[in-house]
Formats: sequence, structure tokens, C-alpha cells
Amino acid sequence: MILHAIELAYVGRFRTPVRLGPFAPGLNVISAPNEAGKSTLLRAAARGLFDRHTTKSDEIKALQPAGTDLAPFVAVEFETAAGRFRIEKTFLQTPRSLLKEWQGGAWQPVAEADHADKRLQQLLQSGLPGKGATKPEHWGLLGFLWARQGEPAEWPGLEGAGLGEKIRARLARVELDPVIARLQAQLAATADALLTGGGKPKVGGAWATAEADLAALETDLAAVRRTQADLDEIHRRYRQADADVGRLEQEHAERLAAAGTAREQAAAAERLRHDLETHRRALGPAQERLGAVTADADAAAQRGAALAAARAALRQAETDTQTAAQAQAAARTRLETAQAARPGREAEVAALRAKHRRAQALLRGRRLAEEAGALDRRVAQATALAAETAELAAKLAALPALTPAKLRQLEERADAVRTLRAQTEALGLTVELTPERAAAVEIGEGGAAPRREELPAGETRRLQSPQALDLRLAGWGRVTVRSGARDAQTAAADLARAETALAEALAAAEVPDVAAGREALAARQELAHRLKTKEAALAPHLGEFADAAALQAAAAGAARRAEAQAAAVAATAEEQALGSAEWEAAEAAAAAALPGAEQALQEFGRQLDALAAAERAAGERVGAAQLALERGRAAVRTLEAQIADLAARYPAGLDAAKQAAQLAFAQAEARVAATTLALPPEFEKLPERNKRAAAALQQIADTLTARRSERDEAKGKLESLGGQGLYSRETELTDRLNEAALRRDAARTQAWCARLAHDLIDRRKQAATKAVLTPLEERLTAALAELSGETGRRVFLDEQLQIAGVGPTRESAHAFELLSQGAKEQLLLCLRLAVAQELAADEPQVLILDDVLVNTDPVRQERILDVLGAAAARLQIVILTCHDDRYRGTGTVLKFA
Amino acid sequence: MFRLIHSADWQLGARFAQFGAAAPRLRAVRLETLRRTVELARTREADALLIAGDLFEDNQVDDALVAATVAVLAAEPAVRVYVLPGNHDPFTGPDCVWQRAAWLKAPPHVHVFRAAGTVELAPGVHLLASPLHQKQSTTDPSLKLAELAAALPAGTIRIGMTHGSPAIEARHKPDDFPIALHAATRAGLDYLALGHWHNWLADTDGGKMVMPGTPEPDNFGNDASGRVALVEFDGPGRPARVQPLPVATLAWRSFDFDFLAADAARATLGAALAELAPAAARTVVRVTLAGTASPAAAAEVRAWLEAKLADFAVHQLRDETRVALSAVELADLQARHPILAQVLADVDRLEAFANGTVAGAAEPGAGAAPLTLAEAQALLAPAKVELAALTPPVLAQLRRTLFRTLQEVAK
Repeated sequence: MILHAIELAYVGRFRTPVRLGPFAPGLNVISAPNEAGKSTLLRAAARGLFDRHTTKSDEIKALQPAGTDLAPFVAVEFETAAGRFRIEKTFLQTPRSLLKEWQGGAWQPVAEADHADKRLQQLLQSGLPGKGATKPEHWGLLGFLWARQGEPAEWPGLEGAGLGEKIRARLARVELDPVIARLQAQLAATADALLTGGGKPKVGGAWATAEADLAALETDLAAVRRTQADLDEIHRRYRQADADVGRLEQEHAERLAAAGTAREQAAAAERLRHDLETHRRALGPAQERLGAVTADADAAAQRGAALAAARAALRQAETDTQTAAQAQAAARTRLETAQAARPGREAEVAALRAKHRRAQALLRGRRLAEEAGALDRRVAQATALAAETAELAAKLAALPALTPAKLRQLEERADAVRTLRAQTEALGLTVELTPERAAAVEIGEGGAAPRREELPAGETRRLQSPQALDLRLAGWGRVTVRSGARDAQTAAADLARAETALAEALAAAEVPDVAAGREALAARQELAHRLKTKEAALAPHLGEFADAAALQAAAAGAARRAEAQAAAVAATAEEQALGSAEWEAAEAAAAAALPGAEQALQEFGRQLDALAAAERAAGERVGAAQLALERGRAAVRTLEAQIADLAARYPAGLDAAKQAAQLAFAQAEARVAATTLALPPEFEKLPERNKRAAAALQQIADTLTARRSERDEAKGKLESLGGQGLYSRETELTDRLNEAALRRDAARTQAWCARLAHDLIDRRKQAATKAVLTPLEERLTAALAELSGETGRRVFLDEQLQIAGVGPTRESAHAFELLSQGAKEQLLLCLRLAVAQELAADEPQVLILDDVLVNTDPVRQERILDVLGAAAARLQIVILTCHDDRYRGTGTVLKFA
Repeated sequence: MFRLIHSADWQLGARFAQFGAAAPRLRAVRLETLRRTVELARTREADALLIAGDLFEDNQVDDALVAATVAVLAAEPAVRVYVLPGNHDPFTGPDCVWQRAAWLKAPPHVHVFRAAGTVELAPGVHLLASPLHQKQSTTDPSLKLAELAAALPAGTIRIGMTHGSPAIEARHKPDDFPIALHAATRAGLDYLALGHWHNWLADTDGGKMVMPGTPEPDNFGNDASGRVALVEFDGPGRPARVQPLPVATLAWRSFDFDFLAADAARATLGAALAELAPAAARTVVRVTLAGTASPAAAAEVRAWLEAKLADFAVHQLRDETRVALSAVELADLQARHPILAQVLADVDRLEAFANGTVAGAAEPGAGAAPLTLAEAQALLAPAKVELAALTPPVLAQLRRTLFRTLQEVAK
């Protein structure tokens, strides 16, 4: 399409009709200041060309002059391959559409109202929205060939269906085949209903539904087949168990028979063994009976003999008893006689003893008196000597307790004092004071407290000090005497210490001085000697006594004993008259006679004891004889009773009983032997064998029961599973599975076919598009080189005819997005030019540039004018600009009329 | 005279997987045929109806079918029925079909041989049966019959019954119960009723061994099926008279339609279908379309056939044609829709890639580059279609899709 003229009324600022045109076939420049209405005029023309005349959308209302309700009128004269036309449209209040065609030199109406709109749509290959005003994408080729002011400097997308695709097809010299487009769309719809973009079954689609059905059916079928496999396994187990049961039943029968036989054998053996035990038990009593009878017979015989012996012993005992009684009577008589003589004999001895004791007592009294007299004499001598001794001892005690050693010590100390005093006197101060009258002096010496000394008148008092003397003389004053000698001072100190030691030793010895000591020691030694002599004289008198007092006490004691003895004896006068010798002779005679008398008496006593013993022995023999007699009688009675008891046990007699017992024992022995012979060999193992057989039978029975149970269980399961009709179920599922598989295959094939057909068509269309990419790129590259003056760069397009980039190679090209705004708008201008030139090969085309080169420098501007000028040979180009200076001298300048 | 009807291989409950939704109908028909055969036994005054194995397709058929079958067999008390387990329904124990309640409660005149044994059908007439207990075996099941026959008195009619393959060289498998070709003579039988193969076979062992085939055909090509044998015995040692009796409910017919001679094929097939039309409700038909046809021609023939086959009990239309344009059609297509012509050439290339016959594949023409293998793979990858999946039917469908859709959008 190319434009010839545009007329407006009641549009925007154009309240009165205005006409723009005629447009030249080549380059047209509409130059006017901003806000003059250039763009409004062209937009209104687009509304007239592409919108329904009945549209009341905001875009249409925006055409009305501000603040009015005037009905916008638009008329556009244009030309396509089909001819030259004029469309007149009035919008809003009085909508009207009238299409006219230039025929025969005049405009001829060809359609009006909706028909006009539709015909116009066909002529311009434009589209319509569902409702409302059109948008540039509905404007057909003009939508792409109209570079609108202020819109993004980007090439519109061509990847979509519709016009973009149409342009691509035209550019690629591919015939725009609506049938193929619809074919492809329908194929896409079919494929999309079944397939996802990734080639998977689409949820809800027939393929996915069939797949889901298949999966469910295969699950069910797998379950059936698992059950079938279970059935086969159970069947195998059943057959195995059934075979086992058969085998076990046979073995069970064999074991049963064997167990029965073993049981019977064991029972028979047990019976025999029991009989044997019975017979053996019977043999014992028979043997015992025989033994008892035999023993009883032997006992009876023994007791008979014993009875005879007992009776003979009894008779002897009776004789012995009588003899013993007689002997006892004789002994008793002798004893009684002796006992009667005994008191006389004892009296004789007692008299002799009394006489002897009297002689002894008298003799002792006499000896005690003599001893008391002797002691009295010793007491008198000892008492005198003791008094002397005591006196000497008292004297000795009154003397100082000095010993020669102590005296030597005193003498040594006195010598030391003398020596030190001489040294002191030779070294220290010596002051001699001799007052005329009695005075007192305070003596201070060596820092010690002053001492006061009385000085008798005219008496010289020598004062010595090793170093200094401080004297206060009453009534006179203070005299201080000092010496500078240190040795005198030391000697004075030593002297003081020696004097002190001497004084202490004298005090201890209780003597005033050493001379007194020597005297005291001599007196002491003399007294000690005397005392020792007296004590030696006293000692023989004291004897065993410690002192005189002890001796006196002993003498007093002896006197008392003598008196007591005399009192006790109470000697008669006659006796007192006798002398000690007589008394001693009488005592000796009594003493000599007494042992013989006592011995004779003792002998008599022994004889008496012997008689008594003989009497007792005779009595004991009598008792023993009587006891033996009683025992013999008891033995006879016992034996008689025992013999009677034995005889009573065997009424038929012992011999008969013994014979019967012997016969019974022989019979019992015979039964044991016979039963033993009847027992089978190894009969003792039969019970164990029987137990084994029973256990084996039980085991096989248990196994059989278990296997029968397994078989029956398997049988039950088989019957249950067999009745489920698994094959029929599988058949039904297989039928459904086949049906689902057919559906799946059909849907999948349909999906694949639709997708493949669509993609094959698409691929062919893209291949055709791609075939023209190179010439288009070359055309663009040439235009860019002409604009920029650079020949080293090439423009690259992608398969959607979008500018991929600019550069020496495709790989190193700068992306379109990264180019400057000026470069972008110039490239897009070139692309539009190229596209328009391609499209113009089939039909005249108009390229509208509405102030699009706002970022282009003057140098490029000139080059663009060159390019546009060249392109204007084949294209109608309409430039809207507010910079008329840039296009001055270029093309046809249009003014509003 | 003693008369019996010998049948076998009823295969009740068979799948017919290739028939899809029509399979239940084909299954149901077999029970109907059994019912009619029992009636036939009654009307023919047969003393016994023998079923020599494979009454059922499988031991695990459902109870409903078992009950229905027993009911059919028990329906005529006058007809004694003797059923032998075959290799499809062997007597295997508690899970086999013969232990179902329906069989266990079956009336006395319906007898199942769960073990080899002899039944006296009538005075002087003995039936010796050797049932199968497994699905496969290399043992000749007729050997049992010889053992059984040895226990029978002389001078009686001996009828054997078992299931297996006559040991005809190259026609049987060693583990498919091979039966010696002189099995009847070997066992001293007057007649050996066999089952296993689905076509009539009655000339073995001097005609004493008879395989009646399945009474109801179950596949195209089983032309000697659909029968039972009516067998009459005049006395021991005298040959039995064997007569095939057709009992099939459905006839199975298969036809081809070759586009190479489309007109002649149309005429022939039309006549054949017209001839079958009266019995259409009892006929299973399969028509195979073959040859190369344009989309329009193929569609037209399919439509014609769909109409013709609609009345048949079961019909299959197998389309094995290759869609191809005539030169005129191709030129027209290239003129009107050059892209579509190129796409068709691409489809040819895809087929060539799939078949490995790239050489000689059609060129897209008009200077367009032919589709390369890499391009083909790049094209198929997003749709997740393997090249191997592009089988001739798929590619035929692709072409049909193109043409059919083209027709739809061009309207």
C-alpha cells in the first residue's frame, strides 16, 4: 500500500477539514513544528484504515477535538496491488464507512458500513481485535513499516503467528498459504491435546488416559499373574506334600506294625520277667522258712543240752551255798571274840600315852623357864651398852657434817680468795679511811647501788676497788676515786666470785671459817671411833635381835610362855620336887614303852580286821553261792520256756516242719529255673526297643500329620485360588489391556503424527526463511555500510529475522541490545527499508518514519538522506519531522491544507 | 448298534486377544455351540457324548463359565456325557477346574475322568479313558489305554479316549503328548477318540483314530473345524462308521483387497460379501487392504468396506496399504502447497531412515534440501520419538494425518 492523500475533520486540533496530499510515490517530508498535529494526522489515518467505523473505544474518542463531541471524520486515499481506493469513515455519533475505488477517472463506491470495513481489511491484509480499537499488530504490513515516534527502537517480533509470520513468509519468498497455516495449527492443536512440549503424554489427553489405564490394568494383571505364580507354587508344594504324605503313610504303616510287634514282644518278656520276679520273690521266703525251721531245730537241740547243764550247775550251787553259810558262821564267831578283847588293849595303850605326855609337858615347862632367865640376863647387858652408844651418836650428830674431802675443798677456796685478794690489792684502788670520829660513808662502786658503811672513829677502813670508788662522806661531801687499770677491775670481779663461793661452801659446811672446819672434822673423827667400839661390844648381847628393844621383847615373850606352860602342867609338888634328870628319865622310859604298846595294839587291830574281812568274805561267798543258785534256777526256767516256745511253733513237730520247708524250697527253685529258661534272649533290651519303635512311630505320625496339614492347607488354598477363575480374570484384563493398548497406540501414533507433521511443516518454513537470510543480511550490511561509512561490519539476522548483532563474524558480533541508540535506530531504519524493499517487489509499500532519527548525527543524517533517496525509487517514504532543515531539498514537502 | 458323538477342543473361555472388544462375543458363541451339540446328541439319539479334552481353555476359568458349562452338559439327562481333561485343562489336583463345586455336584450322567479308567457304556461296550494330568509330556497317553484294555473281556466294543498329538512327522512336537499312529490297533480298540488339534483328522490307524477338531472355529484358516464326529458301532471288531456333523455357530472368512487391481478387488470382494450377507450375523470376516493407494482412494475403500462389514458378527479391517500420491496429485500438491510436498518428501526420507533404505528416497524438489539423518533425529528428539518407532503403519498414519487434516482445513 502507498498513500495518496489524507483528509481529516473534527480530529484533534483539526476542527475544520484538512487535507494532506497528494503524496509523491517516492520521498515525502511532512515538516511542521511540534504539536502541529503531524502524528495526530497519521494516527487518525490509521484509525480510518484499520478500525471498525462502529468502534467507540477510547482510542477513537481521543480523536475528538478536546472538549467537543464532534464526530471525527477520516478519509484516506491509498493504492494497493488491487487498485486505488478511498476510505471515508465517520466515528462515534454518526458512524459511517464508505469504500470507494478509482475507476474510470472517478471514485466509485464499492462497499459501505461493515462491508466496507471488511473489504478494506482484505485489501490491507489487516486484522481486527475481538472488540475495541486496533493496535499496530493488527495493521498488517503497515504495523511494521511505520516507525512510530516515541515507541521503543526495537524491531517488532516476527516469531508469532499472524502478520509477523506473514511478513516472514513474504521476506522468505514463501507463499503465504493459509491452508498450510490452518493445517499446521490444527496439527498443533491435535498434538497439544495429546502431548506435552517435552513429548510426554499430556495429562487428560487420550494418550495419557490410555497409558494410565494400561498402567492400572498391568498392575491388576501383574497381581493376577502373581496370584497365578502363587498358585503354581502352592500347586508344587501340594504335589510335594501329597507325595510325601503317601510315602509317610506307607512308612507309618510299616512303623505301626513294627511298633506293634515290639510292643507284644516286650509285653511277653515283661510278663515272663514279672513271673520270674515273683518266683524269685517266692524262693526267698521258702529259703528263709527252711533256714528258720533248721535254725529252730538246732536251737531246740542246743537248748536241751543247755538245760541239762544248767540243772547240774544248779545242784552244785545249792551245795556251795550251804558250805559258804557254815564258813560264814565260824568267821563271825571268831570276829566277835576278838572284838570283845579290843577295849582292854586300847585302854592299856592310852594310859601309857598319857604318862608319856605328862613327862614331856613337865620337861618343857622346865626348859622354858631356863630360857626366859637367860634372856633376862642378855637384856640387862645390852641395855647398858646401848645407852652409851646412843650418847656417842648424839654427840657426833651435833658436829658439822664435814668430811676430809669437804675440808680440802674449803681450804682450796680460801687459798683462792687469798690469792685473788692479793692480786686485787696489787692492781686496784685502795683507799684507807680513818675518821677522827665515827662516821658513815656511802660507797658507790662500779655503777652499783651505793652501800653505807659505818666508820668507827680512828679505825682505818680500807676500801678497795678495781677502778673507781664514789664515797659520800657525811658532813663532808662526795669523794670519787678512779683508776684507769682494767686488770684490777677483772681481778676484783674474780675475787668477788671466789669470796662468794667460799662463803657458800662455809655456809654449807656449817663452819665460820676454814680453821673451825678443821677442828670440827677432828672431833668428829674421834667420836666416830668411840661409837664404833661400843657398837662392837653390844652386838654379842643382841645376837639375832636387831637392837636392845627387840631383845627385851623376846625376853618378855619367853617369860610369858614359861609361865603359861607351868600353869598348864600344874605340876604337883612331888613332881616339882623332881629334878630335870629324873624328869628326863621318866619321859625316856615312857617314850621307850609306848611304841611297843602301840604296835601290839595295831597288830591286834589288824587281826581284828582280818577276822572281819574273813567274815565278810564268807558272807560274800554265801551271797555269790545264792546268786549262782538263783541264776541257775533262772537259766533252767528260761531254757525250759524257750524249748517250750520252739515246740509250740511246730505243732506237727520240728522234723515234719523241716521236711515240708525243704520241699517248698526245692519247688520254688524249680519254678525260677523254668521261667528263666522261658525268657527270650536279650529280653532286657526289648523295652528299650519297644520305646524306640513307639518313638519312631510317633515321629513319623507327627511328620505325617504335619505334611497332611501342609497338604490340606495347600489343597484348601488351591481350591480357593482355583475357584477364582484367574485365567478368565486374566483374559478379561488382557482384553481390556489390548483395548487400552490399541487406544494408547492410536493416541500415541496420532500424537506423534500430528507433532511430526507440524514440526516437519515448521521446519520447512524455517528452512525457507533461512534461505533468504543471507541476501537480507547482505542488503542490511550494505545499507549499514552506507550509513556508517564503515565496510568491515556485517549485520547478522537470526531465524526469526531479528537482528542478532553487528560485527565482522557472527560469533564476534555485538548483540543488538548492546549497540548505541543511534546505531539501533539506524539499523532498524535499514531493516525496515530492506523489508519494505522486499515487500515492494510484490506490491507498492509505504514506509513511514515519524521522527525516528533523533539520535543521529548530521553526518549520518546526510548519509541517511542518500539511502532514503535511493530507496525512494522503489518505495513511498513518508517522513514526519520537526527539523525541516534536516530534510531541506529532499523529496516532496507536504503541507497541511 | 451303539452311537456316540465325539467332540473335543471346545476351548471355552479362550481369549481371542486379536479381536479386542469382539472377544467376549466369540467366547460366548462357543458355549452356544456346546448347547446345540448336546441337543444334537439327543436328537441323534446318541448313547454318549464324548469330550476328548480341552473343554476349557484353561484350568483357571471362572466359576460362572464352569457352572454354565456343567449346566449345558447336564441339561439333557438322556445324553450321557464323558469328559476327559486335556492339556489345556489337565487334572492337576485341587486347583483344577474339575474340582470346582459345579463338577463335584454334577449329575451322574455327566462324568469326568479324573483318572484313567474304564466305564461300561452299555453291555459289551466299554469306554477306556486316559486323561492328562499336565500341560506337556513326551509320554504317549494312549499307552494307558492298552493297559486298561488288557483287563477287559474279549468280544466287547472298546472305545478309547485320550488327548494328544498323532505322531505325524513334522506335525507334532515331542513334548506335546505324542500318540503313536497305531495307538488304537496297539490297544485293541475299535475306536480311539482323540482331541488336541483343531482341524478334522480321521484317517489315522485305518480310520480308528479320529480327531474331530474344534467344534467352533477359533481362527481364520481352520477350515476343517466346526464339526463333531457321529460314530456308530455295529459290533466288536467291526469298523465304526464316522460321520462329521457341522455344529459351528460362526463361520470365519478372510479376504484381501489389493489396490494394485482395485477395481477387480472391489468387484470380487463385493460379490463375496454379498454372498455372505444372509449369514453375516454368523460370520467372522477379516479384510486385509494391501498395495499402494492414494489417501483419497484408501479412504474411499475403507469407507466402502466399513459399510459392507458393519452387519457381520465380527469383522476386522487390516489396513496394510501404503499411502502414496499419484504423479498428478503430487504435481498438484506441489503447485498448491509446496511446503506440504516437501514435508511428504521428508516423510519418505524418515521412512527410508527407519528402514535403512535411504538411497532412492524421494527428493523434496523445488531446490529444497532433502532431510538429513541428523535433522531427522533433531526433529524427533523433542517429541521423544525414536526413529525405530517410525514403522510403516506409523508413517502411513502420518501421511494420512497430513492428508486428512489438509482436507479438513481446506473445507
